[in-house]
Amino acid sequence: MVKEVDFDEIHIGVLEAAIDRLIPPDDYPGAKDSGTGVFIIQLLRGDEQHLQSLYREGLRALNEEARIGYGNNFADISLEQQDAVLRQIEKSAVQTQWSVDPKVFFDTLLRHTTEGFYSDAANGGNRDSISWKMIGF
Amino acid sequence: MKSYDAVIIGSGAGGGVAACVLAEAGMQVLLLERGKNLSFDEIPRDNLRNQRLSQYGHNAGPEIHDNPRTVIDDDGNEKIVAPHQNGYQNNAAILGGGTRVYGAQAWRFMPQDFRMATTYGVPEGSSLADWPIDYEELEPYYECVEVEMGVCGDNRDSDHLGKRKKSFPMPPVPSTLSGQTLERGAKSLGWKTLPVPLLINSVEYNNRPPCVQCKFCVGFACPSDSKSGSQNTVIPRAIVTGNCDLICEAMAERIDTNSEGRVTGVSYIRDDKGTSARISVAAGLVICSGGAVESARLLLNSKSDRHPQGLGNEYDQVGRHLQGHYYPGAFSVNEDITYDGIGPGPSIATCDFNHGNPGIVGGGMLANDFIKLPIMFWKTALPQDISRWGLENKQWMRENYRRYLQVMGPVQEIPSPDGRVKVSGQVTDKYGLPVAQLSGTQHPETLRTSEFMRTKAVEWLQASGAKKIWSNSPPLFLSGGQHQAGTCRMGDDPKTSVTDRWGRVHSHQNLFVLDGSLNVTNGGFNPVLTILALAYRGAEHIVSDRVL
Repeated sequence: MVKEVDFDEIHIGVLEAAIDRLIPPDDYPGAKDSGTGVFIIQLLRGDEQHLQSLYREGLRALNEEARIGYGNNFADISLEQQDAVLRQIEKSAVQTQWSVDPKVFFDTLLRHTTEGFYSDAANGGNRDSISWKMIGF
Repeated sequence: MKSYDAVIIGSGAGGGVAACVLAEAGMQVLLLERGKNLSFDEIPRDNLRNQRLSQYGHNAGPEIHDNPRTVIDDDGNEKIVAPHQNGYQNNAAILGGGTRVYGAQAWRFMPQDFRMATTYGVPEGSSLADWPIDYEELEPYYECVEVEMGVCGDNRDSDHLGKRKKSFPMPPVPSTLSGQTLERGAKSLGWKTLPVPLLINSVEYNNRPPCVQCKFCVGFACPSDSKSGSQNTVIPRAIVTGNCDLICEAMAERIDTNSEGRVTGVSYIRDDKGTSARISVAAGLVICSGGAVESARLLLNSKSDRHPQGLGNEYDQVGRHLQGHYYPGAFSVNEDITYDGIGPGPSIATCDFNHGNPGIVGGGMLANDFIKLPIMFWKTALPQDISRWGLENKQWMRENYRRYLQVMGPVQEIPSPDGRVKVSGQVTDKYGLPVAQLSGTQHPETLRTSEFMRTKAVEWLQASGAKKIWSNSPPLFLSGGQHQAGTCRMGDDPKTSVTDRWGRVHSHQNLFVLDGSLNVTNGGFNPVLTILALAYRGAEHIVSDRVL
């Protein structure tokens, strides 16, 4: 049943950069360093494997938005530029051709990111229960 | 064929009590449960797969594959839903049923809750009705449950509630910072408050220890076995008599009847290590305790030549009037810390608005909530005017998790005959049995009551030091879920009810329903204590009837 997720390095790079803007590091780690990327990959191999193509296409198109808008891969543009790209996708105000609904992709990515960051560490994200320490749960 | 005096289908609140009362009276009982008998270690604290947040599944059943139901959408199309998806109206499938993982709020209904039609009149198009019994009739059984299973609580400021002959057998769990904050607010408004009564040990009781105040109560199994469900109270008592066989992973297929139409037994399907066996047992009487969705489904699926519409369904009443609870409420953030991390969480309530609200039908109890999992806080508590992502969101979470208050409560719903359970003509489960098909909504009058209670929640928070308050009003929908009730309502008239005042199906002398299905209306309270009390009363009636 378990399918591997055939993401290439660009996909992984975009994923980690994007989730780290959804929950950025401050004096507590952001989504990336708390293991949320690992959580999402695990989810896409398991309960959410039907969303693999949404992710593949969403991450590809997200990167393309960065390339068209700012001339570089998403992971390599400035944080402000990354936020601007994400805000556009959240509003479905995209400049390139998407074969999936940009807002559905954004909302799914945000839902998964928060699930990884705020749920129990046994799920693969929220390393050392860091978000629970942060909010005082 | 094996033969029993009684076969009980479902081991939750109603079925557990029935098994205990019948077995202790010397009857030979078979208790069937579709779920597994899981230990604490087998019921994980997975924050994304539990009975409170079933994003990807459950920790206490049902399995999300092979257990579909269907929902009729606004356009009249039948859609398949899985157990963890919206609209399924799920309750746990495990030994103990919902009581294994519930929050254990142990409220008595108020006297007016049994007389809703008389008190308020019947809104047009609704099926609001009086119960065939009143509070005084049920009071001794409420007391029996409170003492035998163990309820903690306090009578203070309760003169407007139903009179009780005995006080609670245990003191309430300690108040919390949020409870104390809300108590000051209620005092300033002149509202009466009381601790939330719980089927949880606040002191050692029934040889089980007091609550350890953990943060994972509702939706999870209890680490100290202090939360009382049927699985650690009445079912062990039934088993120890030697008169009760318990079989888990046993799905009732149909209630069997003979050519005269008399109930003769139950056929069920037993899952054992990947294989399924169909088994029939003979029974002197049968009790349906599968909850308001599954009990109705079983009666409808037990059709025969003599009962082409299903059992007890001569007047098309089985499955109608499905009720649960709308849960209006509001959030605030306060200047001061309101969180002390002391579980289970619900520690203060007001019952000032269950009845007597001008121009409103009924009302409901308001209370603070269980300790909220951080992911549930993100998913359900965010105000609409803050960004859902970025540093703003992260810092809002960080600043406010320990400063928020939530007040909410179950609204007494106005039932509709069209909010109902049928069986699907298209979709079957893994055993080939037609699944429950859900359609309709509550009566729209429910929304007015719900909106009124939302404003009361806001008022309470305003008086309790809120810096900022937010809430929203839900649209009309079909509720049921963990508080599911009403689909085999009791009554004196066989044309408008399914069972008599004891839970006996009108058309079948030896067929009973003992679960929330009996509730004519569902109170402005969590219904479990009423389900337990009705089951005690019905089961004792079965025993006394038999002796006579």
